[in-house]
Amino acid sequence: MTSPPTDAELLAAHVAGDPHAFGELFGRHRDRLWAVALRTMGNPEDAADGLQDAMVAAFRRAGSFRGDSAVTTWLHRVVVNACLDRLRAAKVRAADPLPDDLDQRRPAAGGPAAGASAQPADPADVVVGHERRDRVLAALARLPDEQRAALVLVDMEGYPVAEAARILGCAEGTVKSRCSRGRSRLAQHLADLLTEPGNPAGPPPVPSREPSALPTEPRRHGPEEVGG
Amino acid sequence: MTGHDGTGHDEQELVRRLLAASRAEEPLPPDVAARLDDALAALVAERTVSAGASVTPLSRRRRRVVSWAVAAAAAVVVGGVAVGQLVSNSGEGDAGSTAADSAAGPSVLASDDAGAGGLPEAAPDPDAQEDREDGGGLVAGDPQPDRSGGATTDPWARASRVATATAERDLAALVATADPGVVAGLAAQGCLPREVRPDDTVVAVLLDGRPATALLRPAGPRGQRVLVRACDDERPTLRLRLAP
Repeated sequence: MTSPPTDAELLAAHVAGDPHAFGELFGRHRDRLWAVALRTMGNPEDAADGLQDAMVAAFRRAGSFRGDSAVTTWLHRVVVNACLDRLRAAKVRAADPLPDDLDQRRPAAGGPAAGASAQPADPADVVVGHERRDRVLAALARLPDEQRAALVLVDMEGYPVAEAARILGCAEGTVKSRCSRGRSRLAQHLADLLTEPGNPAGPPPVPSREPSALPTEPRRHGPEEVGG
Repeated sequence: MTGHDGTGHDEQELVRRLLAASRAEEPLPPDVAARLDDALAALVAERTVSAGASVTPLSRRRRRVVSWAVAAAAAVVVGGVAVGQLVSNSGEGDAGSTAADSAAGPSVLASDDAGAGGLPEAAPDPDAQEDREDGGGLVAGDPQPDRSGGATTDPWARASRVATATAERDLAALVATADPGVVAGLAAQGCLPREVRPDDTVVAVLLDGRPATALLRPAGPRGQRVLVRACDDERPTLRLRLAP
């Protein structure tokens, strides 16, 4: 029995011309990449655009991957950067005329995450923590893009700070600083939630993952790894 | 311990817990998955088309000065084939993939450290071409079109004209006379829309005088969907459903 190809092997096969390799590689990670895109962009439509941009970019620039990091790190980095590019472009276009299909789009007022508070796909989410989650996402949308991206990776997706730094292309200290500042701003926006009884016993931080084991082998991180 | 803004550790921890509880748990929605699958099929088709172009090993560095236009023209050497054939036709080799990327690639950074976001439909980037050549790779060779392949260097040389005001009539006529042998040229020009699907017929048209691509979806009982995208538009410029 042969073991399935590794991510690196699939990427190499894609670069070598295998027409199916990239699809298999991307398919392995796309749910997790989607989660990052969704929380970074804040609404499904823009997240889909960002993820597609990233997929196209990764497909075409696979040959530039040098293996200095895990393939998943590289993929996440492409996704995050594609999303941030779109957010920046959206700000540049902010003064443009409204699109003709505005009425068909989900509400976007209040920042990039406003649409994410629209209907979740999982009905269970509607019942459990719907209101609190919407509040958190709306507050997250008010953060600067870089702070939001750092918090999505570290606090929501559970990446160690070092891994998030590689994904974001900055120093670990920068990630810690962005996370800390972002949490502080969120604390101001969510002050009432923080003082609700029982909050300290709420859900624990998501487990981080070893870079080499992404995305299937979670590992709990110590406080010093989380940043802030 | 306090945060950068003087926030206490407990408060930071509480916010962290709120964020953790708000992470996206939903899998990729089916409609987005289908869209990505379509886009991936188009990418594979694009690369496979250009993989058929004749390529020449780059032996001398002076060839770095080759212009994007020359490289793009060379990728048009392949014969025209329908998209469906391209998707089912597996990759044709390493050299071809390099030519394909050169022909169709938007801005491509040279390092995985520079994994910037996608510019999927951007204009071809001469620097990307040079990056590949730096790596001792292959570039598209003789720019002279191979007439035996039946392709043309200009996908719009004999393109049908479509006017927005009369688009439905113009496109109906186009369906009847569609010549799908322009996929390679459109890919080389960076004008193969991401919306293309394996069973589409792809036709070069001039939309109000602008180079554009029409994607003719397979005809169904409710008619035939047609998307027209001008090459310099990011999204389809026209979407029509032709009556059956």
